[in-house]
Amino acid sequence: MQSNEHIPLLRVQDLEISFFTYVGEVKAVRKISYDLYPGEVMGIVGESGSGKSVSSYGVMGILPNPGKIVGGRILFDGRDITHLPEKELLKIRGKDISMIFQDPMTSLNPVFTVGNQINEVLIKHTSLTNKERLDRIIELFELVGITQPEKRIQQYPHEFSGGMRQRVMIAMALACNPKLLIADEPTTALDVTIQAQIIALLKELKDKIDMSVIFITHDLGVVADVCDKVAVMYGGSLIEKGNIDDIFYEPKHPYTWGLLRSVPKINADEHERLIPIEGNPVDLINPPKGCAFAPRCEHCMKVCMTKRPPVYAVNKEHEVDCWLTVKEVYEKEKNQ
Amino acid sequence: MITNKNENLLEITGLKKYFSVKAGFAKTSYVKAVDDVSLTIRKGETLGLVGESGCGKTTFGRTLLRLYEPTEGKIIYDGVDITKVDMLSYRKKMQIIFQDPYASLDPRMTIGDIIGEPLDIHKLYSSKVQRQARIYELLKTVGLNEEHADRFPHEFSGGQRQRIGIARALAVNPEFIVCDEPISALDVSIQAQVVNMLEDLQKEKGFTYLFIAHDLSVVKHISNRIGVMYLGHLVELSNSNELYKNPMHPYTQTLLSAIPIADPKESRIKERKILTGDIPSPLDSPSGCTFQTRCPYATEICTKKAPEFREHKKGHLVACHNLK
Repeated sequence: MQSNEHIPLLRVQDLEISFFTYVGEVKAVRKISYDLYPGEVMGIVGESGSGKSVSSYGVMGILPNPGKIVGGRILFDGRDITHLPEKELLKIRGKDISMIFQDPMTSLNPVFTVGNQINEVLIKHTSLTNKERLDRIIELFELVGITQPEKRIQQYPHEFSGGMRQRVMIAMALACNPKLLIADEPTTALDVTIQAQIIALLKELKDKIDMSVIFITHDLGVVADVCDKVAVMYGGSLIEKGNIDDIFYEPKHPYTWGLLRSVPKINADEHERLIPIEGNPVDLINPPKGCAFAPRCEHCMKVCMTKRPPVYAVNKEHEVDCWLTVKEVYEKEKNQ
Repeated sequence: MITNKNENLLEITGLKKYFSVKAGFAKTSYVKAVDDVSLTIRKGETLGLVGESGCGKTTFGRTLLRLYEPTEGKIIYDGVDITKVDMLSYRKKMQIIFQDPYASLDPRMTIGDIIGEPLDIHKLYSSKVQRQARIYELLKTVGLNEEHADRFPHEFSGGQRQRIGIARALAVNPEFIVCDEPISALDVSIQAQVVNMLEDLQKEKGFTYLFIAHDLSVVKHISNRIGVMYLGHLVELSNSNELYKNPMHPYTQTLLSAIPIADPKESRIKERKILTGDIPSPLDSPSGCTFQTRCPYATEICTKKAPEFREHKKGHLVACHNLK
């Protein structure tokens, strides 16, 4: 880990993203902040609709309409990229920051060969000659473990299996040696054995090419496997973040407790009943006034319903947004 | 419970389901989705079925209910071969919960009508009042309210929709339910709710489940016995603890080692077996043992002869040449 370096590669400060739909403003991301240092792998976990993907689309500058960044800023390599014009963003996107998507079936263009699609990235961002580009593509294919690269680059996406397509996506993302790779549920659509292949590949590549990775997933097992630190999102807020051991062994937020308890233990001998989180996910059009998790929280206090919780720093890296951490409030509520 | 001494609810022998595919002019080839699968499902147990996509686990579940007509083989339900009979009366006993809670509910029907439809088909009520009462009762069983009966599917979240799907399956008081990946479309925190509900219902009503999933940790949690499928074949079958402690088939071993564990310390020390390559196309599955193309231990015999599915330990069946 190189987390000791003091300048974060990516700093997200109080980022707010809303979707302006005809039924009203959907506050998909509500004031989230995090730092990512060079060489780190950060996992963002959360349920569907928690804002985990949208927040990174914001970083990439590819928010789908009618989404807008309504507050906060994004600093990449010390530079504010929050409201950069499209022209400037194009220079960064695909070169310094690149992304792999969840569904390799739909994120490749079916009417161009895969080699052609990677070539496009290289034409855009580098001044290599034809021959050099071809060599680079073959090198990339070898890097991501696609056999017979000379033959494969001339094939179309439908000739590849799901796992292989995801490898092509990774090759494309790595084409310009990005500083930051955002992986949006890269293994969710794949089978377990293929998932294991892709995860092993990503881990290996991360060490080979010195890059930072944001790994978005809902699978805690995958997080435990690949990440150095974790951010847990719920209802558009980042409710807890910290390094991986802190989150898994000393979680402080009731939602994180719940998440960890609700996965069945594979090596349990006795049959243990699962402990679910009761209730349903939040409605982001009318989010609760206080803590987003309050309506489902078993430790919910009065203050949780009305005021957003403060950020409490457990240690230098471990931060949690929860009223339970504020001693005075907790004591007061308990005595009532 | 039913006063039948026969302990096995379902006995399946040599079940095959081939789908024909046009492969050029006047030429047909077959996708062997389920190829010669034999197993028994005991009364009151949960049999888990795992495997990667395309291994035929869903086809197997659907063929059991004759939603697909079997190509060959016997399905004996409670002593009667149901491969040739009229299924209407058996639909009351055998039900299914589908994977996708978004696609499996008709968006134009109210929840009340969706749950009421099986009641209508099987004429399970004598008056409208009784029908309504039964619908309310079912909604309560799955943790929803009476007022939900007049709403439409789009007003519900994924977890709630899956509850509706379960209520529909319960409507006819079945004995046997095929749960076809009932939780894979749901969020983690909701999955546990549904798994617990399925377990409670089983305890209360004595259901027998065939639980199909690709999430091995959930399957292990809910099942008494587990079958592992690969390319249409059953490669291993055993009681669930035994399978996790002592997997014998190389495919099961890799499948188990590929599960990500939600525990960073354990995950760091865990040794992983990573399979190379992809699952072959079921259109031309390999000769001999279907797993030979990816198996690290494959020998000459594996390419020639299909291994026999036999018992290696009490109640632990495996199809592999390399086990003595």
